[in-house]
Amino acid sequence: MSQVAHIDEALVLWLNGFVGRSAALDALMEALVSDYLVPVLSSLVLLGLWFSGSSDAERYRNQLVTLTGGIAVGFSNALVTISNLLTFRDRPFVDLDINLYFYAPTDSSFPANPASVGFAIATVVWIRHRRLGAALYVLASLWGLARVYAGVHYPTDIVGGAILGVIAASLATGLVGRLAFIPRHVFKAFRAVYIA
Amino acid sequence: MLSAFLIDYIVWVFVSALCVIQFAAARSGLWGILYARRWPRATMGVSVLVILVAILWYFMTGERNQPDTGLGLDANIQAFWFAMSGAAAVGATLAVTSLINHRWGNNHGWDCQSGEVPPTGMTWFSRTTFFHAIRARVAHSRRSASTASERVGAG
Repeated sequence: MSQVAHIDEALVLWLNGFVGRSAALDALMEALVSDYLVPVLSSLVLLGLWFSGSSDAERYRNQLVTLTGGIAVGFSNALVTISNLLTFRDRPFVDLDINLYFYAPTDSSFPANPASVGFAIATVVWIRHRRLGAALYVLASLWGLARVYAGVHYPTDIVGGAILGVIAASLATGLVGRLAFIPRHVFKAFRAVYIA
Repeated sequence: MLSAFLIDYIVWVFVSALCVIQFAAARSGLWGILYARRWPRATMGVSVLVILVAILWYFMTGERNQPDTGLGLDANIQAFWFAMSGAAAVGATLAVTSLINHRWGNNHGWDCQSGEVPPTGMTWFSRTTFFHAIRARVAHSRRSASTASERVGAG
């Protein structure tokens, strides 16, 4: 366990050591690490899927992905909240001597909420659209990497968050699958007024 | 009162959502909700370009890494305003493209006098606009209602 913590700290220190070395890399990481870029891009993908499809049947399946993605984000936030009630881990910038390249969050470092949300949406999309889902996995991973680079998360926080995200996506997919008659009826009403 | 930070976020999401809808509609053949119906490929290219420019604009015009205890937005507020901006983009797209494509959308292939139910779902946007589709649905509902009342009167 202590060896994992040691590797965790070493990785944060190594990645964070790049802060300030390249203005271009810093600018890229400043956008990637933010609370807005990846969630907005991932949500835009879900919005785009709502309109995508060459037939009503295909569009319906895509709209189910949009719905499932929204539910998965809710589940991932709930899982992170429950986890935060059970454990608290200080942020790397509290424990280590690093260049904090972000504001100083006060909540638990483990599990990383951004990774949880990013991987939840990516997993839901990946189940139906492999390439688009893979692109979202890359985006979510870069978000996690940027968080470690900025000194606000340990790598294991990102891994923990990603696992919770995948679990949340699986739960949401299972729920929508079991209660498929609800979206079927709701979407039928939406189709009657041409918003689905 | 909306903060400048929040207004920037709303504008960014609204513009990006407009472009995402255009991209998806052009790719899916929903010509009736395109601003430039005759140029679907150009629509897709311009949409991607505007999304990228909007990202650059958002991150280069201010300090965006703010705590949600300060100027930043917490997850719930962010989700709420994303939904509002996205819905506004959908509404604007349906309304404006209905006006732009009004004449083209008249030839939607559904005859009100036929008594048939008009097509449902967005797939009909490959032949018509949102306003025409809604008008067809309302016309059919009125016709069905009057036919039903005539039957009751005759009975």
